[in-house]
Amino acid sequence: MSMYTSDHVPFNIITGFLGSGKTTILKKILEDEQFGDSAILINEFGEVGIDDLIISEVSRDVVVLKSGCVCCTIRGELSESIKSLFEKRRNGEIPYFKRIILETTGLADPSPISATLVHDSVLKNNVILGQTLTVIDALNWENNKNEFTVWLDQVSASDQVWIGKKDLVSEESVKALTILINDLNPACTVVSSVKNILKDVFIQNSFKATYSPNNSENSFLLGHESKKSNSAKLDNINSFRLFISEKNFDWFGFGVWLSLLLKKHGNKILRVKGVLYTAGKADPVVIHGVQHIIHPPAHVTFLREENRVSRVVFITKGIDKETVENSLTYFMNACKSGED
Amino acid sequence: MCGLCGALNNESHWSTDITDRDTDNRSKKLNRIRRIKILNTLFKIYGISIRSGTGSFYVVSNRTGVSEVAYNLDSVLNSCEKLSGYDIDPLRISV
Repeated sequence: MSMYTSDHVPFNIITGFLGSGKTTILKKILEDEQFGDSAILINEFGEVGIDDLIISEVSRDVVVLKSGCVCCTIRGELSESIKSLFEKRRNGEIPYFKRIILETTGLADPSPISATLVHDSVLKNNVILGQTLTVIDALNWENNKNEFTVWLDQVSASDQVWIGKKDLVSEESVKALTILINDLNPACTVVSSVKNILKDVFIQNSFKATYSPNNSENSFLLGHESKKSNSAKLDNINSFRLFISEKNFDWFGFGVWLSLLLKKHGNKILRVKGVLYTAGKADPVVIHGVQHIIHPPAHVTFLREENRVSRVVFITKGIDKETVENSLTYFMNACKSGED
Repeated sequence: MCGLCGALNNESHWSTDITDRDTDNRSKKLNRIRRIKILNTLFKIYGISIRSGTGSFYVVSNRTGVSEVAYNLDSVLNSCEKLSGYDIDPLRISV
C-alpha cells in the first residue's frame, strides 16, 4: 500500500533556464480556469505581470486571481512557504486548492526541491511530487547547455517539456531539438498544447497520469516503443532501460543496490524511473528518483500486464548501461544465492 | 521511541516502508529477518556482519568486533563502509 493518500496534494514544478519562456507559460497557466483549483508559488508578482488578473489581495504575498487560483510569492524557505499555504487554507483565508505549482528560478536545479518534499516531516505527509515541466529556449538552448550544467539538470528532471520561442526558429530546428530532448530524457514528453500541460490534476489520478500505459511519455519506460534516435551519444549522457525478470528480482536487494548506487554516484544518476514486479504482489511498484533522492515508491493498481518484467529507466552522466547492468545482476544473483 | 530503553522505532527507508506499511507484526519481523540475511550475504566479503538490535535498530560489526548501531538502511550502509575501511562501490564489485 502506498504511503500517499487522497489527502496528499500534488506538487508540480515549472522550471527552465533564464529567458526560456517560463514566465510566458506561467502567465497562460495563471489565466486559465483549468488551473483555477491551484496554488501557484512564484518569485515575484512583477515578473509575471498579473495586476490585471487580481480580484482580491489576502496579504502582501498572497493574491487570488480571476481564474480562481491563489498566487503567492516565496519569501525565505520554500518549505515554510508551502506550510503557510496549508495553514491559510485551513483557516479559510484562501480558497481550497487541490494542487500546488512552483515556478523555480532560471538557474535552479529542481532536485533539491524533491529532497525538501521527501525529507520534511510535515511536507511528506501533505504533498506528493507530481509532474515537472521544463521550458526550453528554442533559440538559445545550445549556448545554455554548453555554458551551464544546470540546463541538463532541468531537462533530466522533467516529465514534460515545453519548447519556448518556437516562433523565432525554423521548424527543422524545433524537430532537431525535440529529438535531442528525447535522447537526453526518453522518460519525458514534449508537449505542444497548453491544455496538455501538467495533466495530473488530482491525487487519485496523479499516478494514473504519470504511469498510465496510454500516456506516451511512459512508452519508453514501459518498453512499448523506443523513443531514442540513432544520434550519437550526447555529452557523456546515457539513457537506457534495464529489464529484470520476476524470478530474478528481489525487492530488498534492489533497494540496497539502488541506495548504494545513489550514495556513491548520485550526482551522476540524473534520473531513475521504474516499474517493478515483486513476488507475491499482483500490482507493480513504481519508483521515481532524481539524483540522490528516491521518492516514496507506491503500488499502482491500474497497471496490470501479462509480462511481469521489471524495468527501470536511467539517465546517467558518464556511466554506461553495461556497468550498471552488470552491477545489478551481481546483486540480484547474490540475493538469490543468499536465499539458497 | 520506546519508553523503557529509548530505542527509536522508526527504520524508515523507501525500500522498507513499502513492504512494512499496513502489514502485521509477524510479517514485519519476517521481512526484517530476511533483510538482515541479504545484508549479511552482500557485505560478508567486506568482513561485515549485521544483526538485529533491540527495537528496530541494527548492529553492524567488523572482523575485529568494533560495532555501531544503525537505524535504517542508509545508516547501515554508512556503517558498513566506515567499519570495513573499504570504499563500497556497487559499480566496482566484480560480476
